[in-house]
Amino acid sequence: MSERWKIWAMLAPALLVLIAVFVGGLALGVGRSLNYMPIIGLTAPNLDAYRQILRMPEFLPSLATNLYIAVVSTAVSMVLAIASALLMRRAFRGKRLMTFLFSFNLPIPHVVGAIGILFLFAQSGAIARLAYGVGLISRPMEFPVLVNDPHAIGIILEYVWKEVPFIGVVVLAVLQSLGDDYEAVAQTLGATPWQRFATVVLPLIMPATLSVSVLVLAFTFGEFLVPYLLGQTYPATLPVLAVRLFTDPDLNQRPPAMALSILIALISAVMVVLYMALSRRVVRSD
Amino acid sequence: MTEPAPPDPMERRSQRLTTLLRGLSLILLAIWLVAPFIPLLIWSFSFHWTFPHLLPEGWSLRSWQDVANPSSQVLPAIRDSLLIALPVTVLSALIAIPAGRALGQHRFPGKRLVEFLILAPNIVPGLTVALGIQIAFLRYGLANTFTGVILVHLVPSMSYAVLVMAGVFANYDPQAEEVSRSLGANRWQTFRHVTLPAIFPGLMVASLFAFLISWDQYIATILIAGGTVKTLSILVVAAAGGGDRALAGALSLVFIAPAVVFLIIASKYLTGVSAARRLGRR
Amino acid sequence: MTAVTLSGLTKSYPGATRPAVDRLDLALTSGKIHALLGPSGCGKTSTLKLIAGLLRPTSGDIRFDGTSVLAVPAERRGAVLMFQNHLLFPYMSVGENVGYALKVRHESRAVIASRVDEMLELVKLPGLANRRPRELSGGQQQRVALARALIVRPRVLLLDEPLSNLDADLRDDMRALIRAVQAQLAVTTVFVTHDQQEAVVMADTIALMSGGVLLQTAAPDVFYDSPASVEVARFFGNTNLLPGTCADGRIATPLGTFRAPRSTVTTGPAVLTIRPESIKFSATGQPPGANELGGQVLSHIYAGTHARYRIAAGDFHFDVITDAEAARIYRDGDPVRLRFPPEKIWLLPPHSG
Repeated sequence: MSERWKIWAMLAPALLVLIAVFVGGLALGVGRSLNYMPIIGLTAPNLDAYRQILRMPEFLPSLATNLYIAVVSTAVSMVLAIASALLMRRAFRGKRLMTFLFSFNLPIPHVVGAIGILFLFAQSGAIARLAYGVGLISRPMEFPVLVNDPHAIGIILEYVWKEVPFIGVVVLAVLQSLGDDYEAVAQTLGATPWQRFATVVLPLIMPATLSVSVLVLAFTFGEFLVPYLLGQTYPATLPVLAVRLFTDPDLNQRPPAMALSILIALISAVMVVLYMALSRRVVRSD
Repeated sequence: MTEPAPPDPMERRSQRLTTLLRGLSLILLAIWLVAPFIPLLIWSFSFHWTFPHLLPEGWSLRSWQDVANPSSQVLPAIRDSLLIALPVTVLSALIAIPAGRALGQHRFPGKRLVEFLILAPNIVPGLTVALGIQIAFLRYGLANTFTGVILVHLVPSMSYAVLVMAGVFANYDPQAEEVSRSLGANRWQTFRHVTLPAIFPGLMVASLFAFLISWDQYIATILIAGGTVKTLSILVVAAAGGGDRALAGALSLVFIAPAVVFLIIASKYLTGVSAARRLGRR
Repeated sequence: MTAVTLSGLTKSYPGATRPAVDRLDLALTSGKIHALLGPSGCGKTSTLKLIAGLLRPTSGDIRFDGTSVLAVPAERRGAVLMFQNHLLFPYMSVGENVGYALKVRHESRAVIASRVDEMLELVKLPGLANRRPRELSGGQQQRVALARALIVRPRVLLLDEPLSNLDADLRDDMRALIRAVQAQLAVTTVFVTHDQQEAVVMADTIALMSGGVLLQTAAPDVFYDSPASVEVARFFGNTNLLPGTCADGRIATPLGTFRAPRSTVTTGPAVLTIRPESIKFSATGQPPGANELGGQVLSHIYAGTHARYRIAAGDFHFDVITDAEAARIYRDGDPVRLRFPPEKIWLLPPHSG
């Protein structure tokens, strides 16, 4: 067996699953969204389903909500992750405990985070009770609506809770591999603490930070469960809308559901590809 | 090691302030990280807990008894979750060892395309794939079966395992295998006594990943087999939307148990930040 | 032109059993190159960081031209540090790297540009301002780092093992360049190294450190001719030690009495030292004369330009370096005669440890 065949044989099982299930699923979804499904006699693809979703009054508000949630969650997570990593990089008492806590919620499922946020921030939740305890409110209704709310605060809080450590551990690892010497050089060259942060630390950690953050962006854009649990009913996010259409008793809603899910995947992919193109041009770090 | 130069009294005061602020921020961060778990824990032991009270008015093990009660839905749900996640784990590991080796050790034409294909399930939402494949599964009788769910879970689980194993094999030196072969060991003996021990920590982490990814799946499971397969994940989501907070709390804690076990095992095989970094997953 | 004075300089790290730098007194004259030499962990890098202001001393003082700089933070101290890794900022061009110190001082673009060109000229890299650091060779990167360090005309230039990451031939070029640039700008320079050869070639004075303590500070040749202690002699490759008792310019040893006019001790217990290259040896014929003794070749190594012999005499072993020709004549086991020229012998107090 030649070397090349051996390599493909080693990859075969993985490629089989990916092509049969992942690529196959995507292709079927694309076909269905184009009203193309030869098995049931649909052989003339068209864009009706896409037109249908564009005409839906909920579509644009949903898209706006979705983008808003993804961008705000990612930006806030990124800033807080950098801040946390900077706080945690040097030795301090309790660093081991802190590192443990930081990595603890990484493998925790988003559902559990969502339930925790719900129990904390609902109008009858733990924070509201604390607010009552110190006399800020006298009834649950006086507590601001922070879950299933129009500004998607609950969703953003859950994402930030989960993604700050996710981005943060990467930033922390980069900071630790860089060491202090770059900053020491800058300092002896006359850079003030702020200048050292802005002209040395930030540019050095940015490539790695951005490349994890773009994964977070794509994830928060396409995630169903968290907005399903913590979001408001109207406008729902695109994934929630897609599932709602798909599970509609009216089977005519399935092509638009497919079209919507394809659109979500496309937008996620465009985000990642755009980032990769930009980073190759701008950062070009080795 | 950069310390500020010895400060004059003014600077010393501002330095003390910085230390204080830093400590406070760290404490706030720690509280924020654990905060969502605290009400889950308290609710799971509560019997009666109305609004203004900071602690339950009545404590009870009711929700935990519910969880442990064989006639409740919880134990069957755990069984269903395991019946899916365990095969997914084994298959992922079996697929990831050769694939990870091919990607980590060899350069070949088409490698970038393969890598792209393996990364893609991390970018394309699971929802999109599940919606598409559901049509085909209905047709081939895989909808509402464990096999169908296992196949769908395999995509994200396996691709993550392959990524981990590719990283493991990128840092693996196959020369030890040549030595083993030259000393007279056959292929299997060489794999068993040379390769496997070398990749074992990585394989462990990859398998745990694969397990957890399957364990956490919700939307793919419900779209493919919502009628027949009731995993713990489905139960937890239902409880989150339901009115029984005590049960939701207890179920959440049961649901995160594998993740906690994972953290403990992973910390044995990986240390510090690199462990945390690998734990970061979707 | 800045003279640097360290007095009683001490740095203890929390949790360490002994100070990294222990009551160091050192006067570094203005405009010269000074080497801090010693094995790793001897406190030399800590000393460098203390001078730079990156570390705060536990006690003691650092003065530039007589004025204490302890209260001056590193960014305003004018002591620029250059590490063994070039540590060029990878996201900046070569020109931006070199001009960094001027940029953080808010100089105008025009001033920065012309100064950058001037500095690149000085380090013999004209016209590379728009390159990226990774496009340069290791030697070029190090030269850019030097230009970056010198652009603000620092009061003190601090180099931490600046040559250890370079190949042997590049190292010679870089040494010559540092010497030339240093001479041109007359900046007081302190560099840290573990390589005694490098210290000897580069420095005007050497401060030898061990375990945080200063062993000796002097011009390079002094370390060969008249080391201050057995430990210093050993560090500089003098392994030939013979204990005895000295009086009246002579030393009585188990191998006989030697005339030794050069000494740190006038009378009492002492150690005779003589460098391997100073011992002469010849075939045995007549009985040993003055300052001579008989021995036997234990082993030898032919090293191309010279030969290294290990010779037994009584209970002692001596290392001898001769010209390569000797290797053709003397074989292992051959009896030989050693001669210790009186002017090459150096008597030291017996070592304490």
